[in-house]
Amino acid sequence: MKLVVFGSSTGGTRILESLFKGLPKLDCAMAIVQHINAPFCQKFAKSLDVNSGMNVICSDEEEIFKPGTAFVARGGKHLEITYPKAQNKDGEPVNYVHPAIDVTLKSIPSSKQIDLTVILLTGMGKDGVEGVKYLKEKRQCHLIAQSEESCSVFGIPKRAIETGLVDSVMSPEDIKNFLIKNYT
Amino acid sequence: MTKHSKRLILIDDNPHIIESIELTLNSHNIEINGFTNGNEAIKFIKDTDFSGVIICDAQMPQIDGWDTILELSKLGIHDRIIINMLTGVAEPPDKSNACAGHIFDYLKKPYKGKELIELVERSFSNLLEESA
Repeated sequence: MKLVVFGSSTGGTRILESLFKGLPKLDCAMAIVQHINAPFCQKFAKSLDVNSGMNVICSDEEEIFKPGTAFVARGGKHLEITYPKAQNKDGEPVNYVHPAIDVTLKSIPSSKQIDLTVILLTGMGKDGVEGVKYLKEKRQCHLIAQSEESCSVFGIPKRAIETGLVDSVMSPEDIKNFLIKNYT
Repeated sequence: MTKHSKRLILIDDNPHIIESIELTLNSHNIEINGFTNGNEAIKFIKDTDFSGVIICDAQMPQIDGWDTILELSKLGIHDRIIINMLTGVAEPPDKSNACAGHIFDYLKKPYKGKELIELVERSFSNLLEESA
């Protein structure tokens, strides 16, 4: 099963909306961990859903990943991936936030049955960086960081690149083309 | 009920920036309140049950933008406000990490009028209908 996980913070909703606009139904499942307050999660997920061929919903207590579906982590909760399930978890903020990208990435099983791509988009801080370090030690995954010039804040992608673990640096347009090329 | 359905707060210690933003948004039917101090803005938000969009400068004397946002986050009104940062600093300081979950987007100075308008329009469209 193919899984794509987005980690995103400040300015990320704009980038994700541009990525999903016109995106066809892809042969992969997605988890979107965007730092977002709970009341705005539903509306954000709906905007991605109506503008793409993907079935995008704000994650409920427990969801099952299927190709063509994307779960947006609910504000105020962490999202854990116990593949094939995605589960909301209560818990204190990590890196000052919930959902935290680190929590989601560290929850992904090391099973070789999951073909994993992680995409870190614009944002302040360093949430997600420990998660990708953890993942890269445990398993194969393709790690993409958003390019500096296209970021509102080149914080998270920059810190990820500094680890030396990022496989590709891409603009949002290139990320979209990558998704279409690899998952259709 | 206010005359305008959309409310916007500008916080910048430079009054010329506030005037410039007000001018740019002049024809957008938005009620705009400008403050040159974060504390004054926080008091206004508390006193008026404000709901709407906030654009806040990062570097200001007395209370800076990051501390202003952290104070706002304690008010429990995150369901009816959207906060954007306006700053000339490309890389936020470490203290900004605590604000990561509270900031919608980040507009770099010098900004273009079109970028500002797009940011404001996107912010209002992302507010819940009942709050906008």
